[in-house]
Amino acid sequence: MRQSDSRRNFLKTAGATAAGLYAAGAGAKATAQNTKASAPVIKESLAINGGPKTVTVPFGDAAQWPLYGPEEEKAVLEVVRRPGYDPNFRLERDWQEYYKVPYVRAYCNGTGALNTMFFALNLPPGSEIMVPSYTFFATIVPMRLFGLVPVFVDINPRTLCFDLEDAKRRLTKNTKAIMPVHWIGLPADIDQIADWAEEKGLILLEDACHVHGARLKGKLMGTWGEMAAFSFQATKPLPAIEGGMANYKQREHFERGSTFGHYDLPVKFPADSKYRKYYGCGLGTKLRMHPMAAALARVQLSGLDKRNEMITKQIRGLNDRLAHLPGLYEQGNGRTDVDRIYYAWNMLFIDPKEAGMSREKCVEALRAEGVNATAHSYTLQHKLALYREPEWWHHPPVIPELPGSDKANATGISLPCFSKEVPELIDQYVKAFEKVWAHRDQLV
Amino acid sequence: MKRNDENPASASPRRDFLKTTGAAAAGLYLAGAGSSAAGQKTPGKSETLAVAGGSPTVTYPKEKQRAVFRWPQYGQSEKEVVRAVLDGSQRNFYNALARLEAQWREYNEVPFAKSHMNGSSALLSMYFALDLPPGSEVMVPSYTFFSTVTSLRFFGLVPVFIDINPRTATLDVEDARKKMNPKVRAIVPMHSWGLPCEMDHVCDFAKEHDLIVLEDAAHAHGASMQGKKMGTWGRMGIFSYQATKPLPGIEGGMGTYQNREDYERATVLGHYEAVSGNAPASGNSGIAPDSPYRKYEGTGLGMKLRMHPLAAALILKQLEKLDEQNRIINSQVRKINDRICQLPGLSEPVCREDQERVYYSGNLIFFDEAKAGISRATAVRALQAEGVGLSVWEYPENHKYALYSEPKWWHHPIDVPKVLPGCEEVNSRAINLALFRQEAPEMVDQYIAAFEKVWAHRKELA
Ligand SMILES: Cc1ncc(COP(=O)(O)O)c(C=O)c1O
Ligand SMILES: Cc1ncc(COP(=O)(O)O)c(C=O)c1O
Repeated sequence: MRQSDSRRNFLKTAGATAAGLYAAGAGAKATAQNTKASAPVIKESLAINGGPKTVTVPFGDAAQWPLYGPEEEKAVLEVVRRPGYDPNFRLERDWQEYYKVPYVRAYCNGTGALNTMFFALNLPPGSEIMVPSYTFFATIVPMRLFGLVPVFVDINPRTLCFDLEDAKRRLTKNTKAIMPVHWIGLPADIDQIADWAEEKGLILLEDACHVHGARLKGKLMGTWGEMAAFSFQATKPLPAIEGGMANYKQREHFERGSTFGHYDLPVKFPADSKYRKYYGCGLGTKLRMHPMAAALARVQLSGLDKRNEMITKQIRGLNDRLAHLPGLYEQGNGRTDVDRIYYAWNMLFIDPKEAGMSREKCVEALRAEGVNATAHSYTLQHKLALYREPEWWHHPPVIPELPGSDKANATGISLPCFSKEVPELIDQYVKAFEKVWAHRDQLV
Repeated sequence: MKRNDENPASASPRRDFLKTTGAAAAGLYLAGAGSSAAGQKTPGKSETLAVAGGSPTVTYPKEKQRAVFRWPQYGQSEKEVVRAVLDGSQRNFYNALARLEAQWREYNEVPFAKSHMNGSSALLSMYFALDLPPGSEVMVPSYTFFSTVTSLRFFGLVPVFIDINPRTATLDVEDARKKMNPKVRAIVPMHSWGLPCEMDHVCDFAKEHDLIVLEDAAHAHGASMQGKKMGTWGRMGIFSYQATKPLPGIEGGMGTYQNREDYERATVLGHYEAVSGNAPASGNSGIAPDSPYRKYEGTGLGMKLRMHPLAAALILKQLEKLDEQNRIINSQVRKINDRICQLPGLSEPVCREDQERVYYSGNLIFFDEAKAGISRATAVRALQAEGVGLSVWEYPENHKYALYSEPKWWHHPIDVPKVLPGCEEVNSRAINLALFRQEAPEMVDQYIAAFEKVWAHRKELA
């Protein structure tokens, strides 16, 4: 499923008559020339002003997640019947087949996988790693356990992904590695990031916890970097309630990382492995995935592409029909070589000037119409207390200004990520948006 | 299960036994003279040992044996709770964790409990909660699971390997006394295979030297001493719910804490979500609004150690059955041990009258080759041929791992002991007899008969 690029593309391809009209901001004129079906929407006053609510279809389980069925149940009950760790190895086999990377290892969760990656790097304490601040703590905090220090990099406020230009400005002499996050299913510009990393001698890592099955230039995310982490937590594109996986390209990283989290596995390394002698005690702790999670993940992996396709279809079905609204954008990078997926939220952005209304008013009006819209702001890591307290770090991380991250938080509007076919709901969502936009002069 | 065997090798348990049981046959075997039993219908004597071509004593159907040994003993009710998690009717997967914590506090009568991903992560969190200056030393038994020891590494703590008492396989306080040094700040007794460490002695020693007492209760769910549950004697304790453990959730763990400060610090390392949770006024989950750890909302301190909710569902169900399950296992062990420990050369770990032990993984039996008159290996082979589920007991002595001799992993080099005679003694002397997880009187009788048969014939094996 290719992401349709931008508003420009949309206007070329979609029946955009109505869109043009609304975009012109002339509700009255639109009413006159519009089709019968959409006319009443525009006549009626906004729900926030006492008009009728546009969305009348009950939301129900439109965004239910995870989607488990009889196959998942069967696989898990088989573990109850015969508890053992085979499901973990079977999952690793299937995962490797899907990703075609030299080494993979299952862990208790994505954070566990990230822990092993930082340990596997074996960098001198005080080394620095570039990471976005706009991410979950697990991308960053574990590095402190290994004497590593984050360099916070901004994101592009329209992709929510790593801003390479910003990274270039922030490169330090201690920077040894770089870890973009592919945020909620959208691949970062990892090809360009990889080129720059190579030029600067930085190790490329990926936080692929949101991006199971997405591709750039046909190549799966999580196979670009030297190592990559995946999460199977309940909300993720491949949910096992709790679970994680790491991809490794190099044997050294794989063996060192595995030994950090698996005291029992070094015995399986080749005889010349320098980590074999840590069989029985490992080098860290026990980060084994729950075998019931592995059983779940394995079944879910077999249906991953299909589910991604179905969800993408819903989101496109909605977003393509919103693209004409002035001042409204969706998370995307405009690249045509991206096969993104969707996860957790359908992220839109509003430009209040172009839209002629504030985000708060817009969200309020949408909610009154029955749209599950939220003014979306994600916790920025660099603003949290932990990074300002030197006691936790080899040396204190630099706390930067990150205007792109701030802008994302000031302009984001999240919609639910539909997980099933909901054509009527999508129709009504579209109408609600169009109605709000048509009356937006009342929202100033 | 109360036992008063100060010395299992002494005559006292035998005397007890002779008083209470129809022990004619046993007495004969104890005398070690097979010939005197010849005239009587003693089990086994007239038969050839299976190892020499005779027929095996244990004839209980294999299928039924498997059911008796099976662990965990999951059944229909476990399947149902798992199904309920998957079918989407529970809107928040993670509510089960708080429920389990509440029940664990109640069961163990402990003020604070936090669920973790496994016992190892409970250990990691416990050592973090200690908040000791790097370079502090912590006394641990060498005879334990790796994570009792390796987790210390994360916080610049250094282990002092302590021997075990060969009569209990638990931490030897006398050895701890010998190895005491000014850097030592804490001591971690482990309740080996369900037998409580002698916590009164440990606590006295700790008090003398101002040490913090922590417990590795990974093997001891439901065990107690002087009416107080294991895991609640120390300032903090940990449990494992791994598949083989007395309370199995396949993977899972729990920390128990006597004070809020430890609980909160142990929580913040691996539970970013709990840091932002509201602590109910009187309850003990979540972090208090005025906690110094509250500010780590959104970051935690570097790990995510959340238990899998499916594990929590299993553990909650199994907890309902824990006492009864422990009772069943104990009663089977008692019936077997009360008889076989009459045989020359066999004894069991000493359990004091004020201790209620449980059994984890295996029934540890000490084997004295001199008294038995045959080697352990020979006896094990003969018993296996009779159909008895047992093996030579083997358990790693952690101090022998390369990790502890390589200074690069540690704040300062570890003073690795050359030998720990208690550990070596147990490893060279013990056998691991399978636990019966269901009532199986017929099998119990056959096991006893098999031991008695082998002992009656042991001269032929020597
Ligand atoms: C970007 C990112 N990285 C890492 C993780 C950690 O994954 P897990 O929750 O499985 O430990 C998450 C999950 O929430 C995430 O969103
Ligand atoms: C003594 C001891 N401590 C700690 C643990 C760690 O438990 P887990 O396997 O749940 O991490 C175990 C489990 O094997 C154990 O035997």
